[in-house]
Amino acid sequence: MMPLVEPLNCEAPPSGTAKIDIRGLDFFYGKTQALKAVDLAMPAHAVTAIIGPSGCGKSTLLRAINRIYDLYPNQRATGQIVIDGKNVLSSSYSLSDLRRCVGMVFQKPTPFATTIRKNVAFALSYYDRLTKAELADRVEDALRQAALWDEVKDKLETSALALSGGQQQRLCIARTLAVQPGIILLDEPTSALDPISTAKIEELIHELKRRFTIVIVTHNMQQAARVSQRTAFFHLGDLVEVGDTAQIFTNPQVQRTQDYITGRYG
Amino acid sequence: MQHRHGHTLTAFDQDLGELRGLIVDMGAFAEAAIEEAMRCLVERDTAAAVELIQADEQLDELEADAERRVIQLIALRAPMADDLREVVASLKIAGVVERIGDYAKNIARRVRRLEGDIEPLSLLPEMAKMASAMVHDVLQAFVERDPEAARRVCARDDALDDFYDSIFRTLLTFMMENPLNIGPSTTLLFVAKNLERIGDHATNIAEMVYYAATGERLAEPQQKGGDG
Repeated sequence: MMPLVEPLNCEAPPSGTAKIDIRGLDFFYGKTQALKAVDLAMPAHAVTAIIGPSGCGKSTLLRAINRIYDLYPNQRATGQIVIDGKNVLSSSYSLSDLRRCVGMVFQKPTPFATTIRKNVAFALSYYDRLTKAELADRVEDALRQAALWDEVKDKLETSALALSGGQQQRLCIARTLAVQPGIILLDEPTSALDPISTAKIEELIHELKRRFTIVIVTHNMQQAARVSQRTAFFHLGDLVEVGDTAQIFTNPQVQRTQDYITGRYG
Repeated sequence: MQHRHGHTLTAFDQDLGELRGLIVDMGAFAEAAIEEAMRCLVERDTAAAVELIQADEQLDELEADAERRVIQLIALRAPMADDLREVVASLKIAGVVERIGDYAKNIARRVRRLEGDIEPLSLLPEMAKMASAMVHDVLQAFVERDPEAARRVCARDDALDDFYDSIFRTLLTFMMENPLNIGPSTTLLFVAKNLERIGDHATNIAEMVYYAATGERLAEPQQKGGDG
């Protein structure tokens, strides 16, 4: 039977190559299992939205992809997360390589208490040996990509803390982009922002997916519907359903997904 | 998929319930209009036919109300998945039911044109019953989100088309027998055509109900008969 609804904004084909291929991922906080045998392929140059009720494992998934959990002794992941053909969970995969290829933006803007320029240049000086001119170029590039350049170009030496919440969040995105990662993880990136700032970030996500693979965790289903090409629904640590966003929001195949997205959950 | 429970936001359930109720009211109105138009025709009740023609405005108002509610629901509740499909189907069904009301109105308009006794008239109430039963049952399927009931309504359209074809042939024979029969026969032919079209519209609604309930398109039935 013909699908009635075609995906609206699929510039990158969802059937394209997987940038991130998660296979049999289990995640534990101590004895509590937070993710159960998750298999999920995330296509390159597309936005994959992760939705689900609190405690479903959304954020845990992001923590696993960039191995933040490595910092905590009681947390462990088993299975594979394959990025560009390499299992990043393997102990032989260097954490600094991973940080380089996976950038993360958090719920609340986390600017450093320094100038706008230094915020963006910070990670660059850590990873690369750049001349002053090159550094300035990379900072400008990152700020332009984050759609912030025009608003801050005349005040790069002022404190980042003086920016508005929405600007601070775009600064954090610029900081992430500066090291030129292939993957950007966004954990509720607009939940602390007003609708205009949110729209700007969403527009930015739309632009960025041409060059990056983006994973966004969001409680706002409208946002998932607006910005993503693929949507994955998690519940109690299970990946319940994953599909093209248009299909998930118009014709989900699993009852639990339907109950959640129509607001019948619980 | 069935619903194990209502929405967490009960006001949403209430909005959906009211919209559904409105569509059902429209269907009941159209169904009654078909029956009343046929009664007027059979009994040559021209006065009641005029009233029926005027009453059609009420159906137009109900449709406008349905449209207003759908727009409001989409704006305020942002329905998803089966809710979204149902809300969009409601909007489309309201438009189709309004068209069905127009066919009943067209039948009522023929009442004063029908002069003299004409035997094939006795066939039409039966056909009207079939058409209005399809309208009734398809709206019942809508309320119950029952795709199989919708599919069964679709299947009945063939019988209505066959009925139309046989009335068409009967009236043709009548006209050939006596040129004086041509006027009333033509009027009845228009009425039969209107009833046949009502069946087509009920079938369209059935397809919308099926899609709203399942997210899948109902396979198009083979086109047959019904033209002339």
